[in-house]
Amino acid sequence: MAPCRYLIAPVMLLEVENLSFRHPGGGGVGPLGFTLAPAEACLLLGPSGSGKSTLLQLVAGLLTPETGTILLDGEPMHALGPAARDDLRRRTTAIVFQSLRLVSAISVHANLALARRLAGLPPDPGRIARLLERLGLAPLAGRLPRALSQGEAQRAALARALVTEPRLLLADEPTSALDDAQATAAATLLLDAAREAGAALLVVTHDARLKPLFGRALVLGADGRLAEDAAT
Amino acid sequence: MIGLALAYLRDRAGQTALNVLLLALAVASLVALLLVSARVEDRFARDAAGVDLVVGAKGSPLQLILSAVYHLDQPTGNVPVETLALLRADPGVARAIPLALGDNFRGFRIVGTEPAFLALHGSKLVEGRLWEAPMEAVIGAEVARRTGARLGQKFLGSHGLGADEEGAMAHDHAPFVVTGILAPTGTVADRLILTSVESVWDVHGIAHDEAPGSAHAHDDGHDHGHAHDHGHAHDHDHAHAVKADPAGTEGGAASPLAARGGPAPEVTAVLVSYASPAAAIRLPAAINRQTALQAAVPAQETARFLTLFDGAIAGARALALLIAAAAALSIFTVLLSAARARAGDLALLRVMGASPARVFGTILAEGLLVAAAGALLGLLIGHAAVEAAARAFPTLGGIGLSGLAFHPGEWGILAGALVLGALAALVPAAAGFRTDLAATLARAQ
Repeated sequence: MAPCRYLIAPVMLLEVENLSFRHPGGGGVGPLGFTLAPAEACLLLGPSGSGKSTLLQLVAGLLTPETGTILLDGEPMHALGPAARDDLRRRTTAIVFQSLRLVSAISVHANLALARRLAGLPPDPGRIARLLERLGLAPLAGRLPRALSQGEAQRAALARALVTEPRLLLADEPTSALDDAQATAAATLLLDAAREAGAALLVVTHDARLKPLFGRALVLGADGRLAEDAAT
Repeated sequence: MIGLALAYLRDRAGQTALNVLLLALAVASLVALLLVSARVEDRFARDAAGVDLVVGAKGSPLQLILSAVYHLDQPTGNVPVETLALLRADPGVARAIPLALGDNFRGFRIVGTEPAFLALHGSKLVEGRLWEAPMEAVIGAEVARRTGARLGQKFLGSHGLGADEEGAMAHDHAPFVVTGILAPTGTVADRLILTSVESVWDVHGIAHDEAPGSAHAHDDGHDHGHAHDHGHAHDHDHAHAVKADPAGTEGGAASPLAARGGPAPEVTAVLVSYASPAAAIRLPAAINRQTALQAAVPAQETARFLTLFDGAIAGARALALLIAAAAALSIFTVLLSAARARAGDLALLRVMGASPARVFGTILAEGLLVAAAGALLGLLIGHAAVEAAARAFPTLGGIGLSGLAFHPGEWGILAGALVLGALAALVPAAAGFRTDLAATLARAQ
């Protein structure tokens, strides 16, 4: 199906309705629904196995929902074929993973340049330099990912995501294995960076310590349904 | 994606270098084999061009061809000079060129012949003129280069056909003088010293009346006054154009000059070109019926000679192909394990916007880059090895082998190496193409 394009920009960046997905081996998410406004920051909390990461993959177009709809930037992600879904994700979304941070064989700077190229954006060395500077990575630009510390790699992954000028920034468990201070610093960095970039932010985590930092939290129950959608 | 493929190859530089080297060895072996075998075949074909038949003394036909056409072996013997006249009188013969062998200068054969021999090999003078008087000689391009001989320079021939012949003695009573130097032809003529047949006879004190091959040979009692004994015994076991034959019986009909009691004029072989295709059927059979003569066909004997090397060449080629297969297997293994090890990387690339085809192309490019590097390095090594061999072994250098020459077949080897690299990368690339993104991301997290 051809992507639906609105003549007037949609009010919501992301609209999810009656969404459900079950893994063949058991477990899944939904049915559930929620919306996310442009530049809004939201936490997606839930215990292990509640389907948080599955929901993130559905929103990113990496999985096809069994039921329901996902409108991303006005386009029906749920109804698109794989290539069109890849294209929509490429144009709108960036993802920061917990462990898959950077392409391993190239430098931090090359990772950022590659991310822009793959997103179909023109080269912009100035933007890359500013972003590296902003995240304190300028002196590490030439290093390979394996030469970075945990914190440096996390910031580099954020830079790699933000350099594509996404409208939606997804983060999967960005603070697991961090102590309180580190977790707070990492979440603050995400929030600040997304705000400066004008991107909506959806952070998937089981780390309830982050709740006070976010204006809104979606909480999934153990059954994969939405148990709570509340301002914090 | 080429840049990313290069980065991944750099990231595992040790394995990449090993694969490149393995493939380079295979390509180098194939290139060296191709260059050598093509050069040998080409050289054999060019040296034998224009010669349909060689007539010489009875013996091994291969030996006759090797000695008279390629100047590699000892002659089978000699034939009476009258043979030349008989051949020239035959309507099936368009051209008959005599060869009189027996001596050398620093390993380069001195060949008594006629100017038509130069035309046979497309030889042209770059300096001086052809031989006219007795003991004048024209030298081939390689002879001039290797000996440093110049026009007007005198030299002494030594008995025998090789520089290292045991008991070889210099004909110090009869020096040759260089009157001409030939341009390089890439044929055996480059390695020869050419003079008249009479000069060869003169060196060895053989009385003769006139030029060989005259249809009206006669004894006018004039023996040029320089028949002489040059004071050493002809006790070599090789055939010799001037071997004493007092009875004049060797080679069939007795020479009229044999009646004088001195050695009879003989030639070592006659190079024959047919006047018509029909001669190819009649002439060899007619000659071979004679008791002392044999006719050998260069094309047949050369083909027979080259088949002796077929097994060795096939074996060497099989070994090179085996190395190539090992290289392909190694590239395959490394790429497959690399694709598995960096499944997370590939998934991240896909999430960042790379299409499955792009991921496929990146892995395929890695295989092709390794293959291209191996092929190019192999070409360099192969050519360097051929050049080194040509310089180290004069026999190889003598046939015009050079590491600077490029054979069109090398394009085929290059293409084969690239196809091999692509095939080796195909399965790992397909694995990357089929990556289950969600499952890989779930595992990686």
